[in-house]
Amino acid sequence: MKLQTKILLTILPVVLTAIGVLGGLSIRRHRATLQDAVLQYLDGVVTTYVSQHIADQHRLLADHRLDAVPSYVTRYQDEAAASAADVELIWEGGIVVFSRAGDLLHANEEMAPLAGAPKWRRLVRQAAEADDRFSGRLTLNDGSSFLYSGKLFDPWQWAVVAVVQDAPFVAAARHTRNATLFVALISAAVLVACLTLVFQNLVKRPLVRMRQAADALAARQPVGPIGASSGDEIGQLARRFDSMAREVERSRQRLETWNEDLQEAVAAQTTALDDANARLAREIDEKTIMLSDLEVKNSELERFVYTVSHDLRSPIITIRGFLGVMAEDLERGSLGQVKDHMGRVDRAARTMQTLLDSLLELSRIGRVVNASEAVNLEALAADVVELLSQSIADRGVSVTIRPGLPTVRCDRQRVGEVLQNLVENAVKFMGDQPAPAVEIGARIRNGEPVIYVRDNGIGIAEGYREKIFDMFHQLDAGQPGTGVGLALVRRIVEHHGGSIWAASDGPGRGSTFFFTLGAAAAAAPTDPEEDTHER
Amino acid sequence: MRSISWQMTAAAWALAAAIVLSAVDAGAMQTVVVVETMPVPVVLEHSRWFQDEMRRLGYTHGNTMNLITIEAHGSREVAESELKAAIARGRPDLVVTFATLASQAAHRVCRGTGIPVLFAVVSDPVGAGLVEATHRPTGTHVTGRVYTHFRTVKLDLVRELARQAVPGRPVRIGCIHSSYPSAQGDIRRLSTLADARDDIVFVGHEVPYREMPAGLDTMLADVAAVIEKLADEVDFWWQPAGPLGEVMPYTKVLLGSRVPIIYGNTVASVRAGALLTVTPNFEHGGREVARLADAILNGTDPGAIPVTAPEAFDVAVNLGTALRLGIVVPPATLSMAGQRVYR
Repeated sequence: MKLQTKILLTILPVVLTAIGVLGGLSIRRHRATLQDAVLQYLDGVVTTYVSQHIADQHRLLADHRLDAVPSYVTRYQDEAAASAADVELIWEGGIVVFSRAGDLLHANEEMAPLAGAPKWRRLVRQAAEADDRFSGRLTLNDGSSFLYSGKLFDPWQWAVVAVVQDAPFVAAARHTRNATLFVALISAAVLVACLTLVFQNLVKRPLVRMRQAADALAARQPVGPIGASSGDEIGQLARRFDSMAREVERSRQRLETWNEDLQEAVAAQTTALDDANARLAREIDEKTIMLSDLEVKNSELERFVYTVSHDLRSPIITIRGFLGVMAEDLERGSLGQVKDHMGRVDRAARTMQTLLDSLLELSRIGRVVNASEAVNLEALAADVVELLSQSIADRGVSVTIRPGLPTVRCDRQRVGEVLQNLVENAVKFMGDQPAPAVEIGARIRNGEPVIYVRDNGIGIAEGYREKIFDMFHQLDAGQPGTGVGLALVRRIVEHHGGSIWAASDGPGRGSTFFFTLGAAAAAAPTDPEEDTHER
Repeated sequence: MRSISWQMTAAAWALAAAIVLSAVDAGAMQTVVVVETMPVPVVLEHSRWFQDEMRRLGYTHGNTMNLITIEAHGSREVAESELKAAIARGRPDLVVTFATLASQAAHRVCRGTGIPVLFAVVSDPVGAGLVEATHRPTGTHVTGRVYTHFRTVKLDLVRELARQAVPGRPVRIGCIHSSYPSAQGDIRRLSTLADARDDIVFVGHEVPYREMPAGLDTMLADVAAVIEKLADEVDFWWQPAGPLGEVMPYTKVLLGSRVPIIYGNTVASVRAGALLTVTPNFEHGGREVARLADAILNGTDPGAIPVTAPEAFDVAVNLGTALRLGIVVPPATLSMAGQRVYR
């Protein structure tokens, strides 16, 4: 049940009871007041009548000494009594003249039948004995009721009574009661409406607004002031609620500030953590790469160890074999054979020497670093070709150095070894090429110089284009060499930050080795005619 | 030349001063001519209260008003000649007349002069030729007040009294009057009113009017002769209006007969023995005429003033006569009589 209904159910019975009680009292009082007013009116009428009609006639008679003249007295009394008919009362009734003994002397047509009742006679007689004025209500045996006010006129022994029928006043009182009841009900309705209006304005609306504000507070939404200006308890409650809401709002704002600060701190910590994570990830990546490199290198080392042990075992076996043979030869005294076998041992020892030198060289890459310098690759290529001119000439290879090879900052010696190995390989693997040719040149790819060594030799099958850079991996076992050259080349290139790869259209169709030298090349001045060397 | 010019200037100033002074005098002193028809109470009393009210209004003889009183002694010729003489001595600002003869004389003398005429104590101004109608503005230089006799009231009062003494048949009332115009008019109107009633019969008899007071005795002798003739035919006497009814000898002659006077023309006649009278109040009438005179003297056009009846009247009763005749005077009549109740 709503608060408003509760209050109305509390107030309404009280109001209706109060209205009923007050209305009842008011009606009773009104009826008494009405009767008093009517009696006063009748008293005024009878007083006026007596003074203006009876007393005047009597005075005329007395002043002119006619009060002893029966004809005059009778005539004047008759006129005085008859003049009662001229007195018009507001309500039904009239002036009735009795003798002091209660005999009816005069009454108008309306009152004559009623005034002859014995009750009037007794009333007038008793009243005349008691006082010169009398008034009240008289109810006859037939139920008719009258209000009357009488006055004695002693000189003539008259009792003059102004009488009105009570019925109009009973009706008026009933009408007043009904009107009062109606007004009371209307008043109650208006009062209830007013109370409802007042309740809604003074109580319900602030409470609803406080409830809405409380809901908003609960929902963490902005809360406006309730705005109650009254000085009553509701107003005080609303103002205190406003104060509380403001305090909550301030607390919420402080909390939000703290939250934002905390979020910023968390974000900063998160950023730092992310940075640390990134660093750690990078380090992990680096470590992973390093681990991968280590694995590669470990694998390479295992393969190297295996290869070295295998390749070194072969000359050792050769040496030990021929040493046994040589011992047998010596026992047999075949010195010619010994010499030959000693040559074989020597070649095996040389092979071991070469192999060990290559390994030593390979191990020095990355450990022994020469100073980086600006190196004109075209000049360096020319030096390499000059260095290999004997073998080139022996094989009848045409070597072309395309102009435009860049000048780069690099380890001159190592890069020279790269070019030397690549040119040696190209000359070495010409196969049956009737017009062997090698071309050294450079091109620009993505702003980076790419140096190439191209031949028209035996070419490289697709499955070997990567393997050829592994250590001790030889395409043609019949060819002299240790199988360390291209591994050495790749190691030098990668040590410079570059990369190397091989391209071939297939076996017998030549091959091209490309390599870059990484960022070091960019540091060197670029030959202004570089693009013109593009092939 | 210079001397002549100075003299002309002085003369012009003197003339202007004379004109201004003359105007001031004329404005301060107004001439009122009062013409009294004859020395009877109704005339003398009206004139007296008129002059008293004029004094109260600030008009004092010889100071702010030049009051000229003409006593006509019942003679229209005297009234006319005296009035002409007064006008010849100086144009009056107003002529006030009391009673019919004087009023007729003033009306005739002042016709065409523009001199305002204010009449009073004229019972029949239309019949007297003074105005064309009453109760409306006259539109002429003549106005005044009707000396109304309240004839209907009189007849009602008298009938109520007379019926007590003469029950069962019409009351016969004798009226011996002179040939004076107002008397003739009065009896004529009373007879007309009585004709409309079944219970009153007027028996009128006229005697020649003779200028009073010289001709009074002659008229009284004529009246006495008529009384002998009519006494057996009437129940009561009625004193008519006019000069004859104003004088006490006429009342005494009537009272000397065996027929009572049921209506006297004056309060004095009631005091002498007549049963009842109803007359306009002299004081009120005189003062009212004075207020009208004041208005006219202050510029009000007399033609804009309607001729109306007096506003106050007196009732007088003689209780001794009533008791002797066995007549009960009704309380209302007795009350109206007030102090004018005689025995």
